[in-house]
Amino acid sequence: MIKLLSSMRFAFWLLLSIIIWLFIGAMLTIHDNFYYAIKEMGNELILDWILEKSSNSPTVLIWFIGLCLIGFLLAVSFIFCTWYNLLKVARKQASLKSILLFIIHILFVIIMALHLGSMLLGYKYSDVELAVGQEFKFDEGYSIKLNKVHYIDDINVLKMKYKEMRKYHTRNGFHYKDNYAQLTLKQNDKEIKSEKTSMLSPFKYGCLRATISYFYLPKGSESDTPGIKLVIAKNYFNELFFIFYALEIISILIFLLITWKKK
Amino acid sequence: MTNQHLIYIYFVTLLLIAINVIFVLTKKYKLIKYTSVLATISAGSAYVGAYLVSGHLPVYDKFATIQNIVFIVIILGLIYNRKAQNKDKSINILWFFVLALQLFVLTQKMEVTGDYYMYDKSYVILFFQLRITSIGFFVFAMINLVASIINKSDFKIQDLLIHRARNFTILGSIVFLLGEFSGSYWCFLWWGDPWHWSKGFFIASVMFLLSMLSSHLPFNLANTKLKKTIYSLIALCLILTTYLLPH
Repeated sequence: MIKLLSSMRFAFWLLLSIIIWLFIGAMLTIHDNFYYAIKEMGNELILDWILEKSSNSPTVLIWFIGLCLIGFLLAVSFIFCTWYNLLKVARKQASLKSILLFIIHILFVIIMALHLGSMLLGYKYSDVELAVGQEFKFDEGYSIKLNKVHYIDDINVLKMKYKEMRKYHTRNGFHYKDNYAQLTLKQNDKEIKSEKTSMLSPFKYGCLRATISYFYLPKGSESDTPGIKLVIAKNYFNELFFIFYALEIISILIFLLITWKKK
Repeated sequence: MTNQHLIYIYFVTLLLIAINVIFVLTKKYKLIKYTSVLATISAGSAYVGAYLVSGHLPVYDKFATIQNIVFIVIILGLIYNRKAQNKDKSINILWFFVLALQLFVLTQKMEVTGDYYMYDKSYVILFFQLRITSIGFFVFAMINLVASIINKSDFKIQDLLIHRARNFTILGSIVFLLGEFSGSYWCFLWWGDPWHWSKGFFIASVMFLLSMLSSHLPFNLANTKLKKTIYSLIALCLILTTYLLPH
């Protein structure tokens, strides 16, 4: 059994399976219904999506379960192959090449585990619409309030549909650094932090981030002041994810450099 | 400079590539050197021109990105063909590949992507540019694999070509991952997460995993050099197809 789980054959077929499965996922997004269902998966933690919304789209749920199954088997294959083959070779040969191969695989498993962690732990709220003066209450007694919006560009562009709007969002048409929102974070009604937040420059407090994804015009509002669409997320693994991702790239690069010349 | 000028440059590059293909077919190897330099200059002008017209380096439109890939492949061809001591070691087959790529542009809208406010961020441009570069490396790996199949008689050269293909496949994967790293950072700042369930994420994962396939071929499946080469070639072809597919 161990021989099978740690074999290259098992790893190869699983790799092929996950490629096909992901390709099916990509094909599903062509259909509007599936596109929105898959988009919804990313709007909150996957666990919340499974419990609350997955029943609306059984096909996507089945696809997701299949992905988890293949992903799990691939992780098993990775762990067994790393432990029984690569570690053995690294110990026996003690060469930089074999040690690096071992490290690359270990790092890949860690990155996958961090992906899993970020899907399960913390919380996430997407498309939170806030008009000036409005507040959004969420976990741990936190609330975030939009105090003020400073918007210098043409407000009429915000009335357009996304694709049309994009044509006007040029470097001269949309000044993302000058358009900002004044946000205040409170915990149990006690102010913790208040700062100006613009697009691509999120509001940060520990592992908590409030990211402006868009400015929008609140429906029914007579005022010409835009509101903001926020993504509020608490994720413990983001920084670690980037660190291990960078380490993985560096390890593969060193591996390539030492094996570049054919012996 | 306007988009119309870019179209003229495109046809000049196409013509020079086509001339090189004729030289390869008629075995006029000495002349290839000169037209290669001209083709590189022309493809380079398309790259610079795309920047001048759109205000940013090529991002995702097939008109500019494929010419960008062609530029990378031609440069690599120049470097490696220069090192080649005899015509057997050269990889003139690359001119057929770049001709096919350049012709593919004809099926696309011949216009560079317009401006977008995020294009002044280096990580946004790097996301696109590194992906384009990685595809260039994958195409170069494909060229070496095909050259190794053609070059059956000399085992030494064949091994050299296969090893070079292996190097450029791994290098392509590294550059692709670097691009994804930039993309993740962009996604993190825009959407609050380093990655998102989306078609883009699935396609990127498929491309990366395909690049990993050739280094995970089981012995019972790829028990000969030729089989290993063909399977690796299929994986690389699929990466290129995935990239060229409209999405």
